[in-house]
Amino acid sequence: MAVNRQRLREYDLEGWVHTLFYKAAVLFSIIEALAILAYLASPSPLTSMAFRVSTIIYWFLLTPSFYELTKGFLMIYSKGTFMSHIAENVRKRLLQRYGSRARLASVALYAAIILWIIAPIVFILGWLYG
Amino acid sequence: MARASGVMLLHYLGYFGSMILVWLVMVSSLLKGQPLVEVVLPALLLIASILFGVVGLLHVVGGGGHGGKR
Repeated sequence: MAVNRQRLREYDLEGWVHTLFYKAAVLFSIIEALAILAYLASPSPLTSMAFRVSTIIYWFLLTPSFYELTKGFLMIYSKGTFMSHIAENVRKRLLQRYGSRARLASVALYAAIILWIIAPIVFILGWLYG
Repeated sequence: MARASGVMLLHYLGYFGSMILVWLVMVSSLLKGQPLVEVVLPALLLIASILFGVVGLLHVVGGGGHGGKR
């Protein structure tokens, strides 16, 4: 198992990070659930802070998953022309047919990342200045 | 396989649900004092994170399935 993990890290760092964060998120989701439960059962400044801090950590742990999910969807939408590992001659042919989808996918990925990052900024600012 | 598929469906429901609900909970914090923001969205996130975490611990991280021990 450790050898497989080491191989994945060498072969595909992005995949390794995704797997690591995914497993951490699975474990942390229990803490997040407990924090929400405490906040809903007895709202107080302490439980509210625990809920907010754990939600920010949960967001952070889900970030690689969100990136991979968005990338995967856009890869499918663009018929493999966007961010896929295919031969250049095949990509050129696909781009002739699905060029507009590839362009839209490249913009959509950045838009999705910006939207994803805006959420904790809004959350923290609302917490500090709300 | 059939049992695992049902379990994985619940797990992924929690996984994707958590992603969407974390984002919604954070963004909707702008709307203070609304019951939807204060209670409903956190309650939905609670359900999603339990599905993701408990099912993930038992069937995914703990043994077999996506990213688990083989």
